[in-house]
Amino acid sequence: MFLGMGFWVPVFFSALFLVVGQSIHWRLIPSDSPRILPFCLWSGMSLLFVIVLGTTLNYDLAALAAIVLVQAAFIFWYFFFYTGIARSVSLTLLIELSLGFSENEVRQRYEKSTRFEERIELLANLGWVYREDGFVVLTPKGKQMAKGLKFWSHFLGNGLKG
Amino acid sequence: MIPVFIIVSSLFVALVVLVCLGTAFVGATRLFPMLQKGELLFQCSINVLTPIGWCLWMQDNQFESHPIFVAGLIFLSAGQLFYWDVRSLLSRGYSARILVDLYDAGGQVSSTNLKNHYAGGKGISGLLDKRMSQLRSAMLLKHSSSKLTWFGSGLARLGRTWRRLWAFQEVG
Repeated sequence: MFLGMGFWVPVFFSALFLVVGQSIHWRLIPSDSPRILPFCLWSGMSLLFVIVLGTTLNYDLAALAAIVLVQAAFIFWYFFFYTGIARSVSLTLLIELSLGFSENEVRQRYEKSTRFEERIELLANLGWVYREDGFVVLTPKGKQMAKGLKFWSHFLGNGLKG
Repeated sequence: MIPVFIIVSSLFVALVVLVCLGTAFVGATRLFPMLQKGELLFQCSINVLTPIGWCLWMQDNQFESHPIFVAGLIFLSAGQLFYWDVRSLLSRGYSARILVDLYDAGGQVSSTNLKNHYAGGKGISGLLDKRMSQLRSAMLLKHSSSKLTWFGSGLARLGRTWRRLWAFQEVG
């Protein structure tokens, strides 16, 4: 089942390229967005690298398909890590508790923080809401997104409880 | 030899089967609420059985020694994680819930009211109550105190490291 270096070496370098590239990108230009386009570009470059290498090493079609599948897995994992690490409220609470704050202190800090307003800004940057005279207003795009969220949350689960 | 196209398609079919089974179970829990107690067990079971089913299909076709077998398993595991991530977002998403609150309130609300009435009136304190309760259920936080379990400490350390590595500025 476990193959020789011929398969794993390009996969390893592809993963390294992706992780290092994306990490450097995040650190050089910090941002709040998930940076889907740069990630796809990094993925494309690493995929090109392994395909060229695979073609040079005379991989068959199935082996090349295997490499593409692993790249696709990297993309899924990226979104999983991004949403889990960047956006998770539970992780934020865990981290605050690990720094020695009591539960009450963590709650007070969270409630006084600007995280709610930052989420509104995030929604505004995505074009789903805008601010006007102290009000938050849903755009037509935001309305469609909200309807979709309500539908899918009930279809796949028991509703969006927050 | 099975064409590569069929092998790759079978992976997507496996993921679709996973989603369909999960969705069907959620539907069943609405008709028979007692099934909710077994939901986690059911979902974990189908996450284990789906790749096993695919492995058996591949072994029947004598593909277990080819890179596509291993890659297929990696892809399936990542696909399952993605499905769970989407379900989590659709169940607990913070920003998603804000959007839905706004929609339910007619599309326009003052910032203060939006915050105070988050999640249909529960507010931020309600959000925190729920999260703390879930941390305890997941055995990341001890039940009787504010102390983290060893698992919670490890996860917190990992999360702190990744957030610092990626220099996230605005986080959950």
